[in-house]
Amino acid sequence: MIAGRERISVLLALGLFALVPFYGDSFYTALAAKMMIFGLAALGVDVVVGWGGMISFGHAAFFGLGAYTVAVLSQAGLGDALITWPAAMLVAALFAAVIGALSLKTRGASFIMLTLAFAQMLFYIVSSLPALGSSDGLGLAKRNTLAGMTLDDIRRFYYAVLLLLVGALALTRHLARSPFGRAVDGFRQNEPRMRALGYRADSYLLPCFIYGSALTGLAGALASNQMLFVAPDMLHWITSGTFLVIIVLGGQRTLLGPLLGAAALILLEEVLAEITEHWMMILGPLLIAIILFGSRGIAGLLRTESDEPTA
Amino acid sequence: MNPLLETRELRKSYGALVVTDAVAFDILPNEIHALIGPNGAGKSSFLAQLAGDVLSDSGRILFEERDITDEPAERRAHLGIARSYQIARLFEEMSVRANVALAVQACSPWARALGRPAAGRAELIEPADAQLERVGLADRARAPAGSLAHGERRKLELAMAMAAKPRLLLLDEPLAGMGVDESHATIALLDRLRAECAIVLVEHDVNAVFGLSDRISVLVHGRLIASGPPAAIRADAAVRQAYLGDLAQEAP
Repeated sequence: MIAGRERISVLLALGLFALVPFYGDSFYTALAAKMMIFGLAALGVDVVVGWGGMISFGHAAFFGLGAYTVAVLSQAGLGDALITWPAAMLVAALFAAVIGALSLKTRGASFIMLTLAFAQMLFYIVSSLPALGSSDGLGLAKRNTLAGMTLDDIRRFYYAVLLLLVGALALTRHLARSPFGRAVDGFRQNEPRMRALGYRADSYLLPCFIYGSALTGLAGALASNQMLFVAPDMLHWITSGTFLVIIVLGGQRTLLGPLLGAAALILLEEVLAEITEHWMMILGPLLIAIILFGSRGIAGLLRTESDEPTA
Repeated sequence: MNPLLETRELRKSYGALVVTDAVAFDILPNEIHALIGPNGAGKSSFLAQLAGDVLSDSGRILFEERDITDEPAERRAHLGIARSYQIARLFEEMSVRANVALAVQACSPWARALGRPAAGRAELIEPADAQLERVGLADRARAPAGSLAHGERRKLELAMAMAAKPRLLLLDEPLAGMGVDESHATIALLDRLRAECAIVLVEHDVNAVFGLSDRISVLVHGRLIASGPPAAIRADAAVRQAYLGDLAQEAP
């Protein structure tokens, strides 16, 4: 599934990201950190949408849940990343287990609508709970510590994010190549055939949904740490849409695609917003071109053939 | 001998269209039981009900004396029923070998699925390659399934069905689209396969059906009008009238 050429581009991209704090000031370091965090969130979405073929329109819920978990735990005096970040993943995973189990009773448009409905429900609940700051959101007094070490220095925080991203990419690559990942890919390509072979959808698609959502939840925890602020917007369906735009832009099922897509989107936003406030008008045609002329996005441009035989 | 599988009063209709009408069918272990009939007789629908892809309206299906009428397709696969499709249903983006390996993997427990890459696992690759060897597709193992010619797709379907090591194989037109040589090789393979499992064979190639089958059942408008050894079916007046007609005279 992962050719040598792709391995090189992954290492190259991560190498470039590792160098940013040496050459960039704190503005660019923060910008690159944001790219990696959105890349991680989108990687989780790609696991579900790209690999699993489950078009989820509710991934903002898991992003927001991760972020709010960190905020709430911080207020309660729990400020160490070794507790709060796994907790964020766990909360996202638990909600994903429930939302996924119910939504996976359907496929296609119904699945999209169910995941969207669950996420919007959560958005309105969070927006109206005074304990969670209602529509104003919650501020974090300070960044989480990592095993007692402060992450207030943006460069330290940056490398923590990079390390987690590398771990998530390595684990996802491992899972995608495993027999489990092969079966998930089989469900995406031909579900009735998988059932005739004896595979139960719930045993493969639900764990895939939960894993992807936990990654997005972790990204939410990191986002709240970077911004020192959480708001209901993080749970809004527009955030889900942004994640989908990122994986289409970057290329689905390409491992590196979500990171490249996030980098491209955030860069476009920075550059184009300088030129015109209607920068979405330029992004729109770009997305249409990518969808019409090559489904593998930016990552697809980096490889010689779009799909290698898998064994 | 107890039948491996039997159906009792099996019925299925889509609105006013009755595709399976009180069918009582059975197959013995290691038997090849062909199901023939004109187009639209309900042969594929019947196979789909045996496999669990479609649930029957009423009646029972017993597999090894166990009622499987309400079991979903994936449960029936685990009990030992495998099928191939009339229109090949493959994992088009995967290699030929990966297609069969996925069928092999279906038999192994979930917990073993998380470790080493699928592509490097001898326990998946070796049985997969063995099946590809049997159907004559070994030289195409690395090609994407989407690139196969029509006859090759049928062979891959067969390899995937056999990879599950079933006790009952449901084959829907396994010879369709094959050249003469491919067809002969596949007929010989099905004949040998009898030693491993029972086969319900739906096939339009009358020569192949009469040559291979231990028993033949004739389905017309969802009803079984005759069932018996090939010689009896060839001699059956009702069958001649309803379906075989001049086909029977063509057969050697």
